[in-house]
Amino acid sequence: MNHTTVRPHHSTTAPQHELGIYIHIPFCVRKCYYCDFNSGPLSQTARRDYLEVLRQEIIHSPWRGFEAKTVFFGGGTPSELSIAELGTLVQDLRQIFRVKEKAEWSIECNPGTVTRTFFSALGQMGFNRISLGVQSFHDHHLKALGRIHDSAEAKSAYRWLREAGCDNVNLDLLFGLQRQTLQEWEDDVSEALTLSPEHLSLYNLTIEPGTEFGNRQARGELREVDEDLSADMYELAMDRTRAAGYSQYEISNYSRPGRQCAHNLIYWRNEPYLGFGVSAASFIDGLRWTNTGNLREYARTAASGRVSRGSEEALEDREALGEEIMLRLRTSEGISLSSLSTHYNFDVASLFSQTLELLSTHDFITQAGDRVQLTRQGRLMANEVCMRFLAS
Amino acid sequence: MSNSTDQPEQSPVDQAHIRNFCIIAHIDHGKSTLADRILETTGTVEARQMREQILDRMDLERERGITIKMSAVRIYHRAEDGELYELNLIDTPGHVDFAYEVSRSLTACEGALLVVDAVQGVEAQTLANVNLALNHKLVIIPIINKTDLPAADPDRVKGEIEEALMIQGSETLLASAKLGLGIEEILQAVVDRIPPPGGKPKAPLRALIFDSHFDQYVGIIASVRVMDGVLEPGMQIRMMASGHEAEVSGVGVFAPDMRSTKALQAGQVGFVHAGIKEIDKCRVGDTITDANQPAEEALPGYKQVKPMVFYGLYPVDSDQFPDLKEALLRLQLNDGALSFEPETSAALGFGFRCGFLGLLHSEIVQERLEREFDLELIATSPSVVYQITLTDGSVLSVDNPTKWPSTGKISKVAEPYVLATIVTPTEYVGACMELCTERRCVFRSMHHTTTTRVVLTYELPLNEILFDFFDGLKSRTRGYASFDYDFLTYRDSKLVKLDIAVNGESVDALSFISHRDKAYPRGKALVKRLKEVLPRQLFEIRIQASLGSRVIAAEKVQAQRKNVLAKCYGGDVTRKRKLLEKQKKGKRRMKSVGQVEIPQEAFLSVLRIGDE
Repeated sequence: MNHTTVRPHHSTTAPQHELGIYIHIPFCVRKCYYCDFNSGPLSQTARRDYLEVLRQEIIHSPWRGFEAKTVFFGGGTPSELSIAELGTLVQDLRQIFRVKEKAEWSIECNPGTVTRTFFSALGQMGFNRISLGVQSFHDHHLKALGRIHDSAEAKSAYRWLREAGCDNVNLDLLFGLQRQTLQEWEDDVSEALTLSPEHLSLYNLTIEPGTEFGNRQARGELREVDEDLSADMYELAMDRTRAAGYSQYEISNYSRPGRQCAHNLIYWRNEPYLGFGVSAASFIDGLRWTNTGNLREYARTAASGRVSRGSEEALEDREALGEEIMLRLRTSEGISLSSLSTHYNFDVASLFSQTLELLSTHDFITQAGDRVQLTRQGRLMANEVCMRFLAS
Repeated sequence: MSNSTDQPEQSPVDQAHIRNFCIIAHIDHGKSTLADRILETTGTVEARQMREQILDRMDLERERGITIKMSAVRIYHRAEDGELYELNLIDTPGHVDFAYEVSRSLTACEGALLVVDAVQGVEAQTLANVNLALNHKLVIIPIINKTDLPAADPDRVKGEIEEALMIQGSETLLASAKLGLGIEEILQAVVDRIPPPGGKPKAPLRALIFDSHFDQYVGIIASVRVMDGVLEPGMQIRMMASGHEAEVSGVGVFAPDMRSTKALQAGQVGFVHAGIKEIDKCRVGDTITDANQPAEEALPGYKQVKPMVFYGLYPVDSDQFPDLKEALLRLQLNDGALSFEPETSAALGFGFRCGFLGLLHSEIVQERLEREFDLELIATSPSVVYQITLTDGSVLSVDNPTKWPSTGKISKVAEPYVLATIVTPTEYVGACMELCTERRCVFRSMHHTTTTRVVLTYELPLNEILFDFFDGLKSRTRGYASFDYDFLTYRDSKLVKLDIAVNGESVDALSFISHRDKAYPRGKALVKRLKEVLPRQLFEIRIQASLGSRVIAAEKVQAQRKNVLAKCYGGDVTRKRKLLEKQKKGKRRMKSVGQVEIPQEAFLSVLRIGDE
């Protein structure tokens, strides 16, 4: 696919955008059964080649010189990179972009790949937020998910992180697993709260086509998780985190005050971001595109700084409005009717007057003046709410 | 259109060298393969152009392995006597639902090849087809096909043919259409045994329209059998029933593509077009005559069959109503058994009440509408035609449960019975009897065609066949039994109307008529089935089945509690938005009754409530 409309504005002194930067590391020790990211085990040579190409893509970025307020290393398993490899990428990024002093630097870590030394090095490099993929504190569930670590390793990793001085940690946990009981989930949540991280991402497992679980489901080998049970689990997560002083600032994300993930908020607030690496997504000036998902194609084209694209989308105003509402409603701050109206040149309040009334009647949203937010009911039924704002 | 621009052909043969024949068989006994081999052997179609089942033009036919619409092919064949013969092969549908069409093509023939599978032997549709052929006084040539199969037992099958069809075993030919064995012998038998067509070449024109299709350039193209006289371009013709007159713009034959000829003579089969665009001016069954020198009497048309099964067809997207109407008109052009009239449903909006010969016919029509015309349809519960005598003495024909009078006004109700024939291996006789007994049967007879096969005949209410009878028979006999039926008579019966309601609102498209003794189990089964197919919604749904004001079965669907995408990050946004758009679209495709959204499958569930 060709590059199209969006060109960076080099001329102006102060770039208009404060970007989020995402770096995709597509390799891991072993692919988890539920994972639908572009990732998998790669040979040493393939890894080295990929990192070299990734550096080229960053170095030749047409957005060189732009200001960045967050950097996020995701995957795959970024913690599989060596300290040296990570260091090189971090340096490249600092050289090419004007990464703000107080920028958030996040990295996803798999408890099965980390050491004390690694965590200390992360801190020295400037990573100030670590996301640990714990997923479950029950070994039989970890095994069933295809994870490479056990619960004890996850807890040591957490301890090492704290010992290394990291004061902003996220734990990822999954519910709605095959044969998982409400009690097991309650234990997981309690265990996580005992560790007292700054941030928790508590996801209902989604089975995506093309994953190992997706294939099993297609073959009829998975039992359907009861809707009421997963609703109970979700509500339990909301209640327990709240009681422990976390605020649910997004559908699946909970944090201590001031500890929201700044990078992810960029996605939900529909702000601009740049993705580097195979299949990584970018969104700037209303254009969203992804790099090709084909590793070879990516390698071939990245060196020039003109990575071939897997997809590209520029929405019409009405569509874009619907999408922004879909994203923003995920957050606890919700939407402001007036600022949407200004931005999209619609009278949003009257465009959606009936929808808003219906949703209020069902207690899915609250509307306080200009601001619309999901209720607890609304979070449970967010799709019902969001689809009503979409254009088609 | 594949009309050739070549010079029109002149027929090289006279009437004595014409043979018109068809092939009749039970489903899957190899009729289409035999037709293919005949075309190939005679060079009508070159081997390299050959694709399997060349006569079955519709995808649907090829997929289901059955022939729904006939077509005719002209074949030249040099017989053992060294003479050139013109053989016209008229394809016929195999299933009893299409007896009407079988009858149409039989009228154009003097003989029939009866194909019987060397393993399966004589089946229910074999019997039905032979009866039809005998009624049309056709010469029957029995052929045992698939003799190449390891399990083939031609001697046994020959015995069955003798016993059940009363045809001499010595007349039976053996063939393997698949391997091309026995084809020459069959062609010779066509020449030897089937008489040439009668009819007077000098008499005023009489040509029977036995099929037609619509071509956007030349209008209606009618398939005809010329009985008397000559049909040629430039003639002014008249349809004797409709009275419509037109000038013939072309005649020709299918060989198998359309090929123009100078004329069609008495005894010949071919096509004619005369620039007619309106379907009702050129109906199948009508007789074409010369407008300047008209025949005195039209040919006997067909026994106009009456639809026996009725249900409503509604577009899922109500904007498609005009498209559905156009599509039904198109199908009716060469499917005279299909009837329809507009109706409205509180649940489904605007649609058509359609009448079909039977369930297979209805399924085929529905599939053709969806596939060829790209329509998405919802069908209401099926109904037969009930004769209701009211308390004031008047009699009402009701083909729609929504028109059922209130109980107080009904004096008595009669329902149609059919005579059903089941041919089954002996080990499944018990299973067949059990099924028929559950379906309110009256036993008629049982006889063995051989020591291992039995023909059972029953009187059954047609109403009972509508609800899962075929599937029930198939599963209980592991697919070994075959089934056929024919209308018998009307009989008084204790019938009641079952109403289905969701959250108190009646869903007219789901109400159905049942025998009083079966109302409870059927009501329970349907309500249970609906509970399974109704998606959970924003509020709790109550489903009730009732007789009059009395609720006889009820279920609840809990309100939906959770519908949320757990994750949505940068790389997901587009996909997640599309997922929600899809959910939203799915909702729009459901029909709303009150506030309850009912998916397409729910309307199908009525059919699936035989006695499980």
